[in-house]
Amino acid sequence: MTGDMGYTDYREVLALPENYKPADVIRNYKKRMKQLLIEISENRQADDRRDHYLLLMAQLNAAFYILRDRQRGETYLLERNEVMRMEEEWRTATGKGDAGEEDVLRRKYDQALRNFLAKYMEEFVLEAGRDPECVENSGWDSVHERLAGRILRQYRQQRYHEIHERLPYFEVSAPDIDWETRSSFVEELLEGSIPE
Amino acid sequence: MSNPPETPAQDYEALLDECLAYAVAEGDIVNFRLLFMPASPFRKDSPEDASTPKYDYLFPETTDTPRYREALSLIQQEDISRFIREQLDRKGPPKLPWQTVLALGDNAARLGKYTAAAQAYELLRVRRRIQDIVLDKADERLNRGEIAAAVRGYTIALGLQYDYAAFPEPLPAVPDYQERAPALHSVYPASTEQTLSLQEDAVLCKAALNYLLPYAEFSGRLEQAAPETRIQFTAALIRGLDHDWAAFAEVFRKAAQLTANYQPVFDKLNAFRPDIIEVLAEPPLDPAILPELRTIPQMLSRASAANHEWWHYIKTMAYHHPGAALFVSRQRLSATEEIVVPRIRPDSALAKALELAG
Repeated sequence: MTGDMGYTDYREVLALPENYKPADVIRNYKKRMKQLLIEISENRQADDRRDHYLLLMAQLNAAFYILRDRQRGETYLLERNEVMRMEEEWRTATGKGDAGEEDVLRRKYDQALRNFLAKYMEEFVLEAGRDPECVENSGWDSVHERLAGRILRQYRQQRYHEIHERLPYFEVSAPDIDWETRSSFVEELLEGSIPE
Repeated sequence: MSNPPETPAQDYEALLDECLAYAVAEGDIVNFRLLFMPASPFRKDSPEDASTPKYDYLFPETTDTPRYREALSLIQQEDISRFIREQLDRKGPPKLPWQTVLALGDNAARLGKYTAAAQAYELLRVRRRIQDIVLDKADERLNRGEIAAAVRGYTIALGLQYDYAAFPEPLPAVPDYQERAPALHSVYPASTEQTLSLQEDAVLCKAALNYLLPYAEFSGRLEQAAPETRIQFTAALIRGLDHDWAAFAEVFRKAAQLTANYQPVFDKLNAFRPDIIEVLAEPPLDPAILPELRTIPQMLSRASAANHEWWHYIKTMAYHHPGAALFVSRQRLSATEEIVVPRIRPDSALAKALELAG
């Protein structure tokens, strides 16, 4: 699990202070992008880690694109806080015995989470790649965009999955797994013995 | 007028247990989930009736197997049975009892139904941890020289992989060797250095493992293994992913014999750029032998015709025999026509282990 609880914090991506100024956004973005491009050019295994570097580049671009614009940045932070509040609201309702209410809150939260991730982890990231300033600093082009589609979808789904892993179970009853038994089961599988 | 004969009353409780136990025993996640859905034939508010013939497929043909009996006894445990009935009576989305989902996943894994097992484990949020245990145990077996068990472990872990980039929702990842095999041959092999199958075993094994286990967290684990172990593992993995490998190897050897007769012609063709071939005063290839050459990729890929593009043959071959794409290469016949031919190094231990050498 990442430090931002799964809801990517673009202020952390650019290492911005709490009360950052527009100049901090530009300065930190340029500095970090330059460092990343140097790292890529010096890394002999850069081709093997293409997806990883593409994601880092896309995230820097998105962080800059979102936080550079005061209104867009504020909306992002508001929506991020709201979806986190909804998570808390659902968590609090869980276990109080009102299954109907619990389900309504879970659905509301789930929809808000999906929208948040789709907007800020995918749509704006691709949009940032078309921004002239991002293009100039990162060299992002149509090839990057084509490759990024799959990578960003995977990233978004993984984030969704990461967040859900720490939330209350709702599709199955909460499991109580005996990992010793699991280990023996795997040994049995590796032996290849299939009972009738 | 006589009354119609009375239909015997159905014991729906017993029928429900039977269907659930059957789904658990067979690792059938689709049928299992159906039994809890709003349209389940076992919900009181559903218009569907489990006793009608259209639901026969939900019932076991035989109840006399240990796996079924074990599943039935799990389903009939008092707390699980009560929980199931509560969920079926509940308004809104039901929760599945975790014990049965886990048992279902285990049975699916035992039966090789890895996509069903992956879905069950994913629901329980234990898929990745189980995958890690499988890989750790497989590595232990590999270190002890138990190649078959190690290959089984990697095959299971591969089967449990999830594709989070799937659209619109994550799904279990399924083998797609036919999609990735052409990329192994994206550059035309004009020289030995460019021909993957003619590389030393160490290079070929690395490419093979990256192709057959297409996730860095899988293939990366094998990098520390001894070269000899890697060869044995790769050979066993290729056989493990293809139960018909022996038949393919036989066809491959025949195709290789046929190809060997024409090697001097191929060498001559590869010495020229494709645009030059068309304007040579003396064509390097006798048109009379073309029909025979075209049968080579057809033999290898079991294609229905001999007039396909090279990538079509590679895709078809990789679909039937995933490992096959590693031991062939493209061969130009003219500026516009290419076929696929078998090519292996005579000293390749990997090719020998796979009975491809002649």
